[in-house]
Amino acid sequence: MGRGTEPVVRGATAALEAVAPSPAGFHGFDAPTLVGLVLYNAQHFGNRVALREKDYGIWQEYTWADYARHVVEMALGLEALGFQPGDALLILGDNRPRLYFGMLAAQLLRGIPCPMYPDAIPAELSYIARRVGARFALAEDQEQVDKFLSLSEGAESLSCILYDDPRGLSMYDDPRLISCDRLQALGREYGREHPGVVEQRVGAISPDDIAVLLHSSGTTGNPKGVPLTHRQALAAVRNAYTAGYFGQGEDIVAYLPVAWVGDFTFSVAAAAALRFTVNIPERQETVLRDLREIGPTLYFAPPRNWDHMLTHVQVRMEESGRLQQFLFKKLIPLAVELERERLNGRRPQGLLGLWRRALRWLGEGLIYGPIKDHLGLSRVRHAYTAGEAIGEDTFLFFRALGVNLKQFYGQTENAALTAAQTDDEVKLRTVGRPLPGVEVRISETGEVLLRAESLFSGYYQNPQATEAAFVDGWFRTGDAGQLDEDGHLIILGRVEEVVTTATGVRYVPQFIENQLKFSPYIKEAAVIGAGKPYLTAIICIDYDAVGHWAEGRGVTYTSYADLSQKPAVYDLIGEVVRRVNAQMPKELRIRRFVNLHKEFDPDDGELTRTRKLRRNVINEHYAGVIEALYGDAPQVEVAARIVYEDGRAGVIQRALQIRQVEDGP
Amino acid sequence: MRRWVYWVLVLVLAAGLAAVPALAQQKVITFGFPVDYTRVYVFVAEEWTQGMVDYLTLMNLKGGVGGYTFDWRVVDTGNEPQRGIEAYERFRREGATIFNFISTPVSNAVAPRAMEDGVILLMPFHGRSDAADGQTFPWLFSLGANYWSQATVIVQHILEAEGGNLRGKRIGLVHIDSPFGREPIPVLEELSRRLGFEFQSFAFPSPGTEQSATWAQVRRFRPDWVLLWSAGPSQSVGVREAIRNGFPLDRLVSVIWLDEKDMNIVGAAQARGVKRFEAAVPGREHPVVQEILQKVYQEAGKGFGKIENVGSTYYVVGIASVAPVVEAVRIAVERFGEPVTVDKIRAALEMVSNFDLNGLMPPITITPQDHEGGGMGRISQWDGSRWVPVTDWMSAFRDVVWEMVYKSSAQFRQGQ
Amino acid sequence: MFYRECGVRHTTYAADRALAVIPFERALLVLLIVLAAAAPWIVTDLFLVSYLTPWLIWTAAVLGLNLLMGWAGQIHLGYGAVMAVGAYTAVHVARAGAPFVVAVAAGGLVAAVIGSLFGLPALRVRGLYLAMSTLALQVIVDWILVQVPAISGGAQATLLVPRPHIFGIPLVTDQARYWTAAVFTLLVALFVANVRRTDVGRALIALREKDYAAAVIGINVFYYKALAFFVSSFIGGMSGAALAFLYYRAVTPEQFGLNVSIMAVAMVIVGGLGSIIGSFFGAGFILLAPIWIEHGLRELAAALSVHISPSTLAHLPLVIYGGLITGFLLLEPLGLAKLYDNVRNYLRVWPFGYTKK
Repeated sequence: MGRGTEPVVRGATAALEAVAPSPAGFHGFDAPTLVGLVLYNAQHFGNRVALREKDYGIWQEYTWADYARHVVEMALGLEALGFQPGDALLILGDNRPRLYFGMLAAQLLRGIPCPMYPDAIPAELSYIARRVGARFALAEDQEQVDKFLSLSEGAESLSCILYDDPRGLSMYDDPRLISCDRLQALGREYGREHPGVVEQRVGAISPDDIAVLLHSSGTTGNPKGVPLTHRQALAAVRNAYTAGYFGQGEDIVAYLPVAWVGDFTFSVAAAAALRFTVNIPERQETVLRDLREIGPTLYFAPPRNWDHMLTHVQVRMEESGRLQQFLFKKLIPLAVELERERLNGRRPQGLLGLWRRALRWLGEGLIYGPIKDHLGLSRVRHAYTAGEAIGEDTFLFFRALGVNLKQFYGQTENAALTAAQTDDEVKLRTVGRPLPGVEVRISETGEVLLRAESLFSGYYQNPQATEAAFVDGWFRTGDAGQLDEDGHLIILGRVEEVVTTATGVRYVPQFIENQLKFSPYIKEAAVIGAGKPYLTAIICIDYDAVGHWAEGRGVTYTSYADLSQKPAVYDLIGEVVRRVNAQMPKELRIRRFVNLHKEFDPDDGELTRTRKLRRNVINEHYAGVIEALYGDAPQVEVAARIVYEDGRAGVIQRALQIRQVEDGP
Repeated sequence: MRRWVYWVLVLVLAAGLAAVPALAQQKVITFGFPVDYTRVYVFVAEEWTQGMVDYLTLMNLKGGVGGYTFDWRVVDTGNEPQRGIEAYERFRREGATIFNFISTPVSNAVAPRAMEDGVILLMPFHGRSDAADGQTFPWLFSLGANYWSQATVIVQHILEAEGGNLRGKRIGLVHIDSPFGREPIPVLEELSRRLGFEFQSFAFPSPGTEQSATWAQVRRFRPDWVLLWSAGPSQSVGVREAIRNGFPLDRLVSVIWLDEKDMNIVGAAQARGVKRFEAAVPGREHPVVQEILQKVYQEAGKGFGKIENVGSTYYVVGIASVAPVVEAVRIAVERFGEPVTVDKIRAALEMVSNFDLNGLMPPITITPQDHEGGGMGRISQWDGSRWVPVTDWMSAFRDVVWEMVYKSSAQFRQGQ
Repeated sequence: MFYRECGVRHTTYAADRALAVIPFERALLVLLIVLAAAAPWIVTDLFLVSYLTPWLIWTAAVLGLNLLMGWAGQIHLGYGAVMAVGAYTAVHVARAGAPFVVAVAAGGLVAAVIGSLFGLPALRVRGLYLAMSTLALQVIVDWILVQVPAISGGAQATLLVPRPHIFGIPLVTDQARYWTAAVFTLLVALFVANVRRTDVGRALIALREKDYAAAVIGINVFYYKALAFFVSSFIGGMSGAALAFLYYRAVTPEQFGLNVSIMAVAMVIVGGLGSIIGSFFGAGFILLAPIWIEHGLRELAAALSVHISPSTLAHLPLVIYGGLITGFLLLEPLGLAKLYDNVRNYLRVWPFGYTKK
């Protein structure tokens, strides 16, 4: 495998040898650069598995030696094609080994790897491509190649489009297209012709070179480029490792978008520094099944995914046998109760405690263990969630199963890792303590401020934004939060999301929305109330969960839109809203709500790619609905513009019911 | 319905597995009777087993023999060697030392084990005919005329009926096409050489419910005498064919397997005159049978089967096949003293001498050489309602029989 | 419940196609093999001699028949005759002085030749017609055994089986016979399990589904049908020999009669066509259920002090046994293997009701 590249690797790791002559006692995050680490791993741990990708039905393995060889060959190939230091490499596609290799290859040439969300639309691509002046792009497959090709007007600077999967591309005759196989062949040739070039390039990389250029999701306006250097990325890994957040050699799953900071930190930076094995599912659709085969030891998923898993378990339990349901209904509440008490610092006492612990033990064999096994979580040592608040039910359910689920908090600008719950200090309302090496302060306005070695130094070619983001050397996260008496950080919501109603009441809509979304029947919710006399909500039902609920009750329906308008469904959702209202002060209760005939969709711009609400877009799209919510009418007509697959557009008229759940004062 | 199937299975299998071997009792001789109640030997198994068990019950009611009482295990084998072996292995572990399988294939399959294990295997009127050779088969006991002896007794009767001269006579053998059916052929061939009669065999295929083609050939042969060599349902078919072909029934002599039931199937009156080989006295007149009826059935109510069976042909054969063993137990206690072991019973069996159970059976004398006991029997004739003896107990041409026995046992030894 | 599949991943196709990929099943398999090896110390010798030994050998025979019926889809009503040919050949070869292993192999070989000879009609006929031609094999072999004392062992038609030796060690004890049978069956089971995974196995399955279609996709129908008969008869012959040497110790024609052939077919069908574990279940059920039902009833009658006449007691199990077979086949037409599979799936998806992809 490593034939022909070994001398390269040996020479290239010379710099690292000075730092760490032997692997003993050497921590990867003390190394200067990520590329150097990959080469170092290839030399010292060449036979260990670095990557696993499910392809053609089995898990194809790449050792660290393979990893390094691919990186070096791709880098040399890029150089042969004229890639210069400072050049950006656009990376577009699902998680594939080649995309990771490409990222490191660009780093090796002191270029800027710039991963993007695979479902990005050409307009987004075009914007970023222009911002970074990209000449090189790396696409996963035909679909992504097509996107790059359609950019021709805005990004005529694109001179070379590399692609990994050649399927469907044989008839393309655009001269800019080059397959990765061809690229690597070029690289090998180039390497033969230019001996010693790899050593030179490795020696030239500085820890302060940009390791990756990410883009903040940008709930408002255009995305901002967030460059992270090698030093910053490795500092983040060090902070997390010191906090016991990562172990050495974990098995992880790379299934979240490459463009997301977490994937970079987990699957590239931490993977190189702590020699993780990164497992790549076959396709996005097979993640759940592949997850079971992988059995990761460290698993991250956003709250949405955990909710989805819980819903999945509940739905399937409802279809299960009577015995299974009986055990599930007996044992799960018990475990949840025990877990809740444990988190509150109480241990089961006395005979009853003994009995309950015995049941807990029995349940591990009968219910908890099998469920974890089905979900692929039985080997998990660390499970994490972040991005938004997680529902208490979901959080407790998984902890009750015995999954060590914890929340962390972070932002792209700080390489995703700012604060985290630790094993013995999990508080339901907090996101944990700041990681070692991260300083957190709360500003007078209640905003969370940060200072850390892992923190970025400024937005990419955007001095104004950088100026606005820092105050006295502290980074403004934009999150409203507070520190509790134990130093745990509590996140309330976005600073700019704090809204005031016409009556002067201040609240964070996201907080109420999350409360609503903790119900398995509600997929998305938008709470309206800024400048209005009271609060109302637009709700998107969860098609699977409500559909299944309806089937169980003999409610017939034809489509999402039809189902959403059923009176029985309104009763169901109304009950959820009432329950949420019960926990709120009088003035923060939702008075009227409407079930939307469709889900919020990123393609319509209603959600960001990370599925955060774009309130301005929603206010604009559903102005009529919102108006009706503050009127008296029992229903509202909407004109839905739909675009058919062949590109034609049409308009559908639809009446949406409005339900009153809370009387006015 | 689904639950039902599971529960029955679970219950029955559990009970089967839980079957614990009965506790070994003091001073008890245990018999094993794994017989074929359901397949081939149905025609004989029920009455025969009843005869054996009733006789043993009678002995127990009379206080046993020499302080010993008898116990028995009965089970169905369905004539399957595999099930016979299972029953043998099970009963043996439950203490059974004397077996009678009333089935040739099962007896033959178990024989090697019995000889290895030192267990007495009774083979009266079935099993290996060469079991008569006590030297080769120390653990097998025929205790009655084997098929070769039966053939000689029948020929002796014919010889006497023809006035001592068979020269020029024609004797046919109508037999089922199986090793059992072909067994008498070499004996009859030898006798035809000695006595000068013409002999021919006519086989019909198993199961013998269709014999018309065979009898057409018999008719062409124009025999003076016909020997009927089969068992079970095919026997009545044979007699009926003989009637249909106008063969004189008093010249039709059957092997031991012909009884009242067969005669009733043919028609008791039409079958008048048919002769057969007989190994025990049928009917209820004999004092032993009387005693069984009175003590076992009327007084104790411990009869093993239907009272109508008592005294039938195969019932008395059953008595005759255990009575010598009971006699041997008596001898064992007397000669060797207690405790009575299977080895002692075996040795005592070889000392049974001139035992005829007050005339219920021909006198048998068993020696270490001769496990057949003399090979005696008699010919009886159906008079329309019962079997009437037409000869005394007799045996004949012993040299021919023994020649066959030694030839066969020599073959067996070869394989050992 | 016990089937934990998290973390079961395969990096090679060989691992992906392994015989047992779920750790629980692998453990179960090892446990069963250990139990089987230790059986002489666990169960009573009665159990060993009367149940385990014949059950294992019959399982080997049923595996052979299943290869033909379950995989290649060819009916065979003369399997008892094939076993008879193997048994008689082996016994005669052994009596001539050949070692046990050679004798068994010779039995298998001769049975394979004769078996595939009678399988030749399968190249032209199917279904009931094939049933008739295989039945002919049974009738002919029965007839020869009855008619030729030189083969069947003289006038008594009983042939004593010489004591088997393996590499010079005489197999005298019940334990030694049992172990030999167990190893034999294990080897046959492994062989059949592996045949299923090879191109041969797939070709046979294609044949079973439709031989014309198989021919169209390039399978040499003649070759594979003949091969199926050959291999199946080889296993059948060896099993017959094993039965003779390790269990019966004397061979008589009744041990391999038509009823035995039908029993073998019943074992395959009740156990489950084309299933290895089903062959174990089928052989066990057909062989042992009548015995255990009879014992069970007897004990039940004794426990409840109900007097049942011996004749009734002998016939009642037949009724129950027949009812059970019908019941099982109604419950699950695919045989006991499918019932096992149902339980296995139930536990595999536990606590859920079904698997969702």
